[in-house]
Amino acid sequence: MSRVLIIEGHDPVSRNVGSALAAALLPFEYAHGHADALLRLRRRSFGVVITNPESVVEEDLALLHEMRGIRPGVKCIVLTKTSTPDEVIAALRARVFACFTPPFEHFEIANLARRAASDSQWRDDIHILSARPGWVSVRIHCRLITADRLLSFARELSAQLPIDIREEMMQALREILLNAMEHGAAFNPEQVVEVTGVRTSRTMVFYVRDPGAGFRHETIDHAAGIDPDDPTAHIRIREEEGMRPGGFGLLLAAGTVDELIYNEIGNEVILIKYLDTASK
Amino acid sequence: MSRVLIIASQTSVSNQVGELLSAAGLPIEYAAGHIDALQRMRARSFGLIITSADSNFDEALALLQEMRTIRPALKCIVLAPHSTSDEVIAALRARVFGCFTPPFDAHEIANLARNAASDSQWSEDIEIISARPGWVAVRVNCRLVTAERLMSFAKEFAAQLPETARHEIMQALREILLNAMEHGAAFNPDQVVEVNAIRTARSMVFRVRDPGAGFRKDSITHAVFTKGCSDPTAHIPQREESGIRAGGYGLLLAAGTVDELIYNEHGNEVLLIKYLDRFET
Repeated sequence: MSRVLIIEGHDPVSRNVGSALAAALLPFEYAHGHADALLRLRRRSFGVVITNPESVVEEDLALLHEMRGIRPGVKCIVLTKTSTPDEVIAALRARVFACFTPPFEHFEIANLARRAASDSQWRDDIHILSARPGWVSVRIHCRLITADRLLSFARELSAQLPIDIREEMMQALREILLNAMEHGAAFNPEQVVEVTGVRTSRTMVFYVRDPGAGFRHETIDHAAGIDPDDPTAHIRIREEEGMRPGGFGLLLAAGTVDELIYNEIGNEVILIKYLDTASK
Repeated sequence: MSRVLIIASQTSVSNQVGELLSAAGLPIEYAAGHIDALQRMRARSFGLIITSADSNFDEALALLQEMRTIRPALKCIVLAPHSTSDEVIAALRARVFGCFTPPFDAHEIANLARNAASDSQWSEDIEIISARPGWVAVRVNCRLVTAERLMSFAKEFAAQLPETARHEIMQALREILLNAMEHGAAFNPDQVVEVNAIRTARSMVFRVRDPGAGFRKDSITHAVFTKGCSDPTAHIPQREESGIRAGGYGLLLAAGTVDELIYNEHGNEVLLIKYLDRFET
């Protein structure tokens, strides 16, 4: 479990994240600014750096570049006031671990930092296929932590959406992404899922393709919503098959986006949120 | 150039296509009906059959199956009074060469038939990746005739669209598909373009991915590219200097006929979107 360095700002989120890490017994330190962070990194090893929430992305990436000159393996969680799609893409290219803007959820940040501190396989987990504002395609390895990393970037790429719509879309994307990793690849980290986010003038679209053989709707009787007359039918089936409780993922995802479309095989899915209905 | 068998129908299109093919010097015969067609097929070799425009898809595909037991390599152009997405998918799976529903364009059908009659590499040119009504994904080899074949299916797949919308998105798809094949694969028949057609509740979407390294907007000085381009003729001298054929309006045309035309970073993947709500009012 490696040490975490938190660069302090005036925003209470830095301290709140620190408190959450302390409660999780994770060794951490505060740095008072960027120069202090560099000094501390030279003196001792840190596995994760959480940036100052008042700093801009460009400065954070410049800092990360400097820090990697000292500690090449350092992971960086960027906290920043605002982000543009160009900045989020730059962060992805710079292999930032995750990226957050307000409203900050300090438990979420601390949780990701905690997992980052004990993760050594992250480096090539997110591979950019193509990226420009409006269209980002990535290939990601099938690991839970990678899904959460990707969601932090996806949330920022959808930053122009109204906050409630964005959260709904992210909830659906998370369900679909985890389904793809679990049912399409059994969370095998050697396998990859392809995710494309496209922002059109009237929609936000996510496209997820997993490496599995897919499923046919009629074969997934362990998922809620398959029998419209009996929303709990899947619970009995899951118990009989010895599966963990759950199965509401697809139902939840379908309920939070405007369209959820599977291909014939069931290994590709499109999530669509129309922005005009969102603005109403 | 192989012989063409046309199954007669009540509509004039069969005769019109026959006349056009004859004028092009293609050997043709007419069959009075399906059984007559089977008998003629047994009596001599035909490379292509054009079904009766009065017959439905199910019957046409059943006939094709029968005929292929006699002539396994037979190509078939299906004419039908109407189509559903399920029927179009079934036709794709049955390796139908092309399919058309009214309004028929006899010149378009005859042109495809002429290409079919002299084509021997068509069999595996369209590979279905996945297909269900609402979402069809195929991989097509980079050949002009394959693009035309695919267009005939795409047009049927989009049959539920209002005629204007359908015509506009087909025009754009054709441009983008040919661009992908030409600039992404230099019409190399060993290379493939992936095409997804997706019908959502409020839009029709085509996604085309070519195998090329892509292009960057600022590097294509030989095309009129954006709607807001101030000088629509600026690319012409550039094309002349580069020895490129006249043209370069494809992307402009495509962008003008759909609501959104979005390229990925590399330029080798493009989304065409036509929103349907404005046609529903």
